[in-house]
Amino acid sequence: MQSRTAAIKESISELLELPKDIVLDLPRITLIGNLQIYIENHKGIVEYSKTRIRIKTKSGILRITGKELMIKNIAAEEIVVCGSFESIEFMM
Amino acid sequence: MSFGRLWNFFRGYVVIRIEGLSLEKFINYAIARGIYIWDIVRLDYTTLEAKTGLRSYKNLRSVIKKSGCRIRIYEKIGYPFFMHKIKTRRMMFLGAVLSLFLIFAASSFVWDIEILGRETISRREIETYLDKMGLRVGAYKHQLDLENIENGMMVHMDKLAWVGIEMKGTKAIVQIVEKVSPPPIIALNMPCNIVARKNGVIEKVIAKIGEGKAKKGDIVKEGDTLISGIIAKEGQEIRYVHALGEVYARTYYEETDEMDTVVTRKIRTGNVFKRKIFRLYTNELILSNKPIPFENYLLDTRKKSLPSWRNIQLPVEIIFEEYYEVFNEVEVIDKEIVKQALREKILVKILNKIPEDIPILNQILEYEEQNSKIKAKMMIETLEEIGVQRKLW
Repeated sequence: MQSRTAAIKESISELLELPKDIVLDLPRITLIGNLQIYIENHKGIVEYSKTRIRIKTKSGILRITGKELMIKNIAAEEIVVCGSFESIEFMM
Repeated sequence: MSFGRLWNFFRGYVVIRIEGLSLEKFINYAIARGIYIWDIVRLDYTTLEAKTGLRSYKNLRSVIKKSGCRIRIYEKIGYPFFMHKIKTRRMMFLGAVLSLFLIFAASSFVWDIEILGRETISRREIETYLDKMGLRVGAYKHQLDLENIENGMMVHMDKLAWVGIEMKGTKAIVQIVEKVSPPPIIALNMPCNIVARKNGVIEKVIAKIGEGKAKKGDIVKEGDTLISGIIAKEGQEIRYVHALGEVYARTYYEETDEMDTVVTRKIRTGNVFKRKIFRLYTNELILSNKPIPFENYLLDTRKKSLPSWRNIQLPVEIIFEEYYEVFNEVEVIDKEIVKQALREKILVKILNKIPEDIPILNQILEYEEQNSKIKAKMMIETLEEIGVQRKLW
């Protein structure tokens, strides 16, 4: 049922050319090199250390690994992480 | 510093350290309550450092209770804390303001006057004039109209060709250029002689007024009368006239110099011996007691002293001495090359003495060899106007 509504939503956004992050409640992620990542629409922090950060989002858990990681800014909707990243991956 | 940070500074913020096991939970709860925290760094497994605003800090307490962590203020940064500190230490703040004011006040007076370029005018004369115009030690410098003083000086002191006054901090630098006054002109109705300016052999005498005393071939010395302003003829009264005319004479310029054909060069072997000397007034303390290990050496000294402040030079100094070991290399240079070099050297020297724009009649150059030395003697014969007017009495 869940997947069906999601599929319908996606087709509607496709049809009306609406931004998918709004319609599907997905995170919008902006990367600046490997120095800064900007995540809009997150669902909270799962793990936070200097070498690894895991952030819950609608499309799974986003795992960032790297060196000297630091949460530059955090608010209800957005999060900015700085450091030097080595990998960024989604885990379902 | 970005605008956001500046804003945070004015609002004041605290650096907090949170200790606990579920730190992620703490962050999530804080976000959920709408508390803004930034610059979150995980120091180790159980501690977190973050920054938060003043009001947010109070709201964090309930979050702390919920997540089971402990919170501690590590540092208080910002304008409100700074003001609070100042309120408790009013005298210090007052002192700071006062000293600032004092510096400002002290720097708006003239403390020192330096006069540059003075040659014949006495320092006193310039100083008294400056004093009259208001530029004196202790004068309020913003009230001085330097341009006016410059103009006034130019008008009142006729020995000056140019004056420039410049304020450098609390020091007034007065730069002057003195006039080089031309030789006094003798009025046409004043009787005078024409005398020789320098030694020479007379070539031509053109006496327009007066009686020519010298003729071609005469050898004259400096000061000899060439055209006399005293005209005495038999049976007539002695007349005194303003002598006028031109006297051309052969003048001689001589210059000698010598050069070695054998040159010893000091070549560094690459061995260096360094030592330091500490100097206090005239007392020197050598900071190493080893003797200089070379027989032949070149000495290179550098001095390092404390920066001088105003005109006060501290008498403390460190002298670095570097002794470079050398050996002597003897080289014999071809005589012709030495002669060539000598000729050029001598020519430069002699031409400096000869006034410009006069014809050179003759040039004699003689070399003399003496052991390893070559001596040269150059003589230049020129045709020159040597007459100069001089008053009879």
